[in-house]
Amino acid sequence: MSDNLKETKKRLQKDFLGKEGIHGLGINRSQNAIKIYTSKPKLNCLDKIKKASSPYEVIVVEDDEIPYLSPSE
Amino acid sequence: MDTGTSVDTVAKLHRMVQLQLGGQTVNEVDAAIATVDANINYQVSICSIGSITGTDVAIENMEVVKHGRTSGYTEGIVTDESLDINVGIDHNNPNIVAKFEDQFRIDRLSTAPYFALGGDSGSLIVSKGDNKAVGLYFAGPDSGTYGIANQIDVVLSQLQIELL
Repeated sequence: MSDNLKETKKRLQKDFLGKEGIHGLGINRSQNAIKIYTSKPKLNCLDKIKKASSPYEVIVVEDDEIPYLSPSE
Repeated sequence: MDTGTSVDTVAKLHRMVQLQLGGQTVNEVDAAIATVDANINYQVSICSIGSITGTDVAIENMEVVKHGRTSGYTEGIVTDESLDINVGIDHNNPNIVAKFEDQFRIDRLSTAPYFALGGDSGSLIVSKGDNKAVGLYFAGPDSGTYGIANQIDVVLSQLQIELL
């Protein structure tokens, strides 16, 4: 089940990473869910992601800031 | 680069993994190693953490610690053990990104203002309590509320090194 969760995340990543303010996709094992990291308060593609993630739940994490290789000091 | 000059040199670059930009080609690590100059004294341990006892895989809810150049000793918790993420390269142009797959994310403790700050890149992420190396911190937001790290086994493999 867990490996399938990773495979689902990988499949979604190819379609949605970098789109509509989505800067990351991950997993939450304890909740058996796909995690979507975004800097936007509302995702127009959320329904599409939920459908493609089934049977897994989708958790949206709204990050105020995106990560940088070298954060400003 | 830090504000040091040639007189501050402590080591020379030995090997690095070339970063792939553009968001299409996958990166696994952002890492390099250097050879310490002969006149530099060093200890095989981490400031305020101690000696490393081996390696482990970062998993969800694992408590971890690090000691970084800027923020010093901090603690955090692994909140995502399999993260694919676009990381910004240039603060002046957020469209320039590098894509990393199979990273892990560490969030700050609720009682702390940050987990890591600029200048902390290269800090070893260590499991709290048993001092196993689990990752290498390399990215995060300016606020430092969370950090992104490479899996340590991939770092060691790509740099062709072992931990002392």
